[in-house]
Amino acid sequence: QVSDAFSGLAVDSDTPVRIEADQLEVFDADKTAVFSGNVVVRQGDTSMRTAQLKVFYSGDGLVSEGASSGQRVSRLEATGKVLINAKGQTATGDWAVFEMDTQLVTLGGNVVLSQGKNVLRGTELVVNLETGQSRLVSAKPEGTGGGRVQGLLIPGSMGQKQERRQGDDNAGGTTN
Amino acid sequence: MHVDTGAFDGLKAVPAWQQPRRQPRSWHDARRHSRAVRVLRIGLPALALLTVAWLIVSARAFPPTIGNVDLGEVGLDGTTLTMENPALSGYNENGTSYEVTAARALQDVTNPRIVTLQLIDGTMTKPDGTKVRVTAADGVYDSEEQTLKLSNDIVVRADDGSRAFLRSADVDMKAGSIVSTEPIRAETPGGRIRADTMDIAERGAHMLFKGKVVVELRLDGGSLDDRTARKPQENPADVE
Repeated sequence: QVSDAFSGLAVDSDTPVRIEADQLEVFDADKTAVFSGNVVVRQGDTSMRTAQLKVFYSGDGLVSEGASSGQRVSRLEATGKVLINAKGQTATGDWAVFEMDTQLVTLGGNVVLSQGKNVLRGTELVVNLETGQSRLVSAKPEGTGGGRVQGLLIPGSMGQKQERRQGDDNAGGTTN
Repeated sequence: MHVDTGAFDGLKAVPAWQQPRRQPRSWHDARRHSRAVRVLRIGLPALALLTVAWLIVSARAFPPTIGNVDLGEVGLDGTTLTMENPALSGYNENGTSYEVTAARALQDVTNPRIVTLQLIDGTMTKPDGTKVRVTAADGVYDSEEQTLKLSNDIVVRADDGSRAFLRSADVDMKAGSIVSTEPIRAETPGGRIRADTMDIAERGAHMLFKGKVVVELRLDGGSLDDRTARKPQENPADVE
């Protein structure tokens, strides 16, 4: 359990997000929009870089007959090398999923968390935006239950008092 | 037969702002007559109103029922028919009504399919009463191809406050598509977008923006302005 070691993934829904990309394609029929090419997502001092970002939205259709916007983003899927950094912490992985409804953010593939000299590796980082709790999991290749989180934590250098824990984390397995 | 449209081209090349300014027309006394001219429909697309589907031809069914046309004061100069303050209105199958006026319309009687419009002002009222208004300095309407090429100061306004600014827009009314090869910028209550080019097809169902795409929105679809102070516009490149 790596509690709030990496709350940097926090993305709140009522602060504007700025997305830059080379291209944006919107498919209103199935309510998706795909940003591709040097995608950079910024909110406050959190930023995410990825190759492609697929946005799933809900709310009324193309022409909102009179109703106000009501277009809500329900899910974000970043693929193709994801790099997130926030307040000095960086996290990289192969993909990331932001589930706005469940407020869960999952960073997957070979996940590397780093802050200063501290580096943690795993196969999946799950952050609960509501509770701020994050869990780094490393599923063993054979998938025999909990894997070992490889990490190098240098006491004190994590800034806040960080209780160092290493070893089997049998809370393996992914949440979704 | 070779048609000399020299007179015609000369007229078209004169930029709108050198045109004698008409006295401001109050919108309400627009005379309601019609001819088959398409009005451009704006769909307000998705992703927190990420974009405004500008200038999409409204009718599901085409051609729209012809309402009234008023050719205004008509003059014939050589082979060029000039209509001052033409106005037209009509409605289409799904009850969307539209009114379009222009400061001037020019048509070469030997090539009547092309109509050049200056200072276009078109409003479309959807069945639910919401309105979308499009103004543009110049336009060329091809009645055979059913295309309308708009240029210079195109501004689209929807009554929910959404606005889009384009420098050029090629509207294909049959296909229901709008293509702009110049930078576009749009603001809706829920979001802002900027891009170098835009291609909206299938009446707004599919949109493609390319080149330095910047989108600002709130994931909960709320308005950008509620909580955070509006960022100053970086490059108010287009006319406000």
